[in-house]
Amino acid sequence: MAIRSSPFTGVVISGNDIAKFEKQVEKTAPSKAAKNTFVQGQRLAEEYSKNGFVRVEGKGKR
Amino acid sequence: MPGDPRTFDIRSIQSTDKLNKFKLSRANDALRAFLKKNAVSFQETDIAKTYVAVDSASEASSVRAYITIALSEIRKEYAELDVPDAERYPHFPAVKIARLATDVGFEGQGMGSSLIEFVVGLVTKQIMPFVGCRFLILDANPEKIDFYKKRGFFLVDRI
Repeated sequence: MAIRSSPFTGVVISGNDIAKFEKQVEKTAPSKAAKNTFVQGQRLAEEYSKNGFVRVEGKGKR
Repeated sequence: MPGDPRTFDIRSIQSTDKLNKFKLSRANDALRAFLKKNAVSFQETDIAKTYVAVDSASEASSVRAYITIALSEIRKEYAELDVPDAERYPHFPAVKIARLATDVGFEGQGMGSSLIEFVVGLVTKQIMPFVGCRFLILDANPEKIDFYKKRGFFLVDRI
């Protein structure tokens, strides 16, 4: 096994996964999904720092 | 008002929040147990921080979804003979999403996505500029991998 992890610990990568991980970090450009999440996150963090909470509209109906 | 889109608030967990009615499938007992037994004490002792989504129209503060984050690291572990001149700093500081869950009665409303976005914003805006932090990481259940990929995470490997 090349990755060890549990919820409240760090992640240990070994073996072939080291090269795979490094390639992803160094050569993979942020995806469109990552950019969208980042932009939305910036807005939410800004609102949180102003108000101490964030109000979000859900997709469902009451 | 009936028919209005539901709105919910994301904020830090509070000791007065109602946690007993939070429902998950039996397979997710650990996530429910953590919320009920550990989330507040971890919050108060700075072991991990939990943010909850509560119905903004209700005064009862029943938790509908939550996310827990903690400091973590990624460590590259080399076998001794693999890399004679191994780099000096094989540790990378990270924040880890340790828990993420939505009450089964409130799934599909985007709470999980909003909590992820919120944490990404918190980490990139409030932590990374001030404290060394290279990654936001998590251990995903196999059936949730696509959910995280759609929000910009990439998979290193399966355990």
